[in-house]
Amino acid sequence: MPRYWDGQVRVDHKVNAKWDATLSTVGTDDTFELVASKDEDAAEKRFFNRTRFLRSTANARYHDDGWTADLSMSSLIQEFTFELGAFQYIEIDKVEVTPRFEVAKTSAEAGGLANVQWRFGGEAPLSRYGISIALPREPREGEPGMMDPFDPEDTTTRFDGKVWTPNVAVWTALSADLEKDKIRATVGVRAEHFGRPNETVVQPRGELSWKFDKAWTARFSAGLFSRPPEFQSELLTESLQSERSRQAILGLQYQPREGFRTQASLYYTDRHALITTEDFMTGALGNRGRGRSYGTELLATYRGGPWFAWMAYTLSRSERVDRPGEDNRLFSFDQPHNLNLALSWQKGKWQFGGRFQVYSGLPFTPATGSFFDSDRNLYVPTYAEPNSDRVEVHHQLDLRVDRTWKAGPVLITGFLDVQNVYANSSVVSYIYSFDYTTRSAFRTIPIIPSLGIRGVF
Amino acid sequence: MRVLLAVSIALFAGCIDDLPLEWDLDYTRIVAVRAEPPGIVSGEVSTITSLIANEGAPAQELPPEGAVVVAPMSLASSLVATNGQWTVTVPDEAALQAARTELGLMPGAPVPLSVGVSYQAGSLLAVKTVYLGETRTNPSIDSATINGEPLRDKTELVIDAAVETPLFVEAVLEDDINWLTSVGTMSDYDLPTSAYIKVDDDDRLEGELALVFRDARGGVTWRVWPMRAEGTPMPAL
Repeated sequence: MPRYWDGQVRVDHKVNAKWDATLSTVGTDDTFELVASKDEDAAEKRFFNRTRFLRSTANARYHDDGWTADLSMSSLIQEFTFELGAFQYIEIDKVEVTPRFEVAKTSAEAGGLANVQWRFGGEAPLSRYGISIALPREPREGEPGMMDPFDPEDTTTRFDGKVWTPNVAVWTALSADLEKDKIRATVGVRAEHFGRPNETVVQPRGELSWKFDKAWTARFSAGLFSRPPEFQSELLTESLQSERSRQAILGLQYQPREGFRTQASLYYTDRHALITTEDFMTGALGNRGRGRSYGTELLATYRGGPWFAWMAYTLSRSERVDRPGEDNRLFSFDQPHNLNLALSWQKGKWQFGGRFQVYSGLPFTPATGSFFDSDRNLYVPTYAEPNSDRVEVHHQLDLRVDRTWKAGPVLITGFLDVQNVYANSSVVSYIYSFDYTTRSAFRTIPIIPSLGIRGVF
Repeated sequence: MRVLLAVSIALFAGCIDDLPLEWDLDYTRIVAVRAEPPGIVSGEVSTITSLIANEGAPAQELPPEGAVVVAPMSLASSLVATNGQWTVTVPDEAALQAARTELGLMPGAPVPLSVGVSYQAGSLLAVKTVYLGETRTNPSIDSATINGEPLRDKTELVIDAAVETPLFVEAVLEDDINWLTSVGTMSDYDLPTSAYIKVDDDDRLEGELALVFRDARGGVTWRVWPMRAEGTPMPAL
């Protein structure tokens, strides 16, 4: 049986009028083991996964006369173990210490500007990974992964050692009204140094908002962002640099009265230095991928009397080129349409709610054929272009009813929640037969009812 | 192991429809390709043969309809068709050394010759490696038993449909074992000592049992026995 232990403790203490202190810790210990055989000692049929972590944070907050300061020190101890069959495994133990501070100064006026806020801060996450790996090559985003022939003896990726990732980040930002309560600007910059690839990045960011009418506000924000190469097998290649992106968002908000708000935005994200496989024989990684995402988002909310309504729609496209000269392809999580509608109504101690969602299925790479590798006893598939097909649209309706009552000092809420009430079992992806001649739809669970009770002291 | 993966995925997120099963001998495909012997030195000849499973018909041991050297291409002439058989011969040492250079191998290392074979007008394709410059042999399956009785001398098998029938063969962890059948339902088809056949009332009662044994040095041995189940099958769940 799977076993999950989770827990958290938090202590808040007001030291004096200017200082508050918080100590918190959260941890988990989850284990899942499966032996797909009557023979419980059959190592070839064993799947084992264990995840444990303990994060502890000490935080002190100072506030006085427009100044606030947050000082914190956090530690993370994490273990991850995954074993599949008799030959394949990954064990990672991670220890991380992160000192962090942020200081903010606000003032009603400064230098001819109104509602001024200046923030600056820094952090230095220092991590040490102990890594032991014997696994097949890890597929990158969009490369056929689960559909590749599974060879239980394939341990192409092997590593046993320690990896340090000492990173440092500093940032500062200044926000102010250029015209009081009408035009507000924020400019800032974040600089980071990633110690393992010895790389420094400087990322300016900014936002401008203009309330040009009592009900209308326009916003424009833009910035540079980066992600260090610290995800799974990326840690094994020291020369990898961070992935970079440039993002811009233009938005318009309409709020004619309290409780009703609509907003629309256009966004464009340009990505470069994406980490992709350079050499499929050796599995070597490089930073030559690029891509872009763009689209529009619409959001509307209404709150009035016993009613609350919410609507969100996203139209988007995400595409990439893995290596120079190759064709554009879709990201694996490209989802052109995503619509969410929610409605709730409260009457006395009862609350009724519902949510309807409809969204595009995800792209996938279909197999077009295969040949049999007799010595490895597996079929090697051939594929169409990456992410050149897409699973069907998914839609579902969820309904929920809550009833609240008081029992002494306890506020009790009982609820019945039914997800996917009309049992629309959509395709998530496809699983291929061992010889890739047949595929089977991998479907969502058709209906999930749940009954619960919650007590608040 | 693929079943294990599929079960794991299904537990976490959803449902999967039925797919063809790897142990099903009543399903047309190439089950294994054998080079006899799998490693040869100068003056020796290796013969290519495959075990073909057929839907609705007994499995067959057949020479390839077509064959071609996949790699290294400099040794393409090592593969020849003679009297309906495809055979591999070892070229002279200079040609072997050139192939080692092409493949980036150390001097004196055995040269893996990858041979592609085809059946049923090219609808069934497979590759098999023959090692040149080193003697290798195919493994033995003499230790195999059914219900505790040696399979070695049996020409026909009869199992009791009312009970589970255990199968056994001696193997080390690096060996690859496949038990296949068209009678009943096979469990743990890829384990040497835990496999068993269970016959449900909707299963076939007459067909075959096959054992395919691969070692880590490219050797493969198989054998197929006619088999029938007698007695009252277990009710299907």
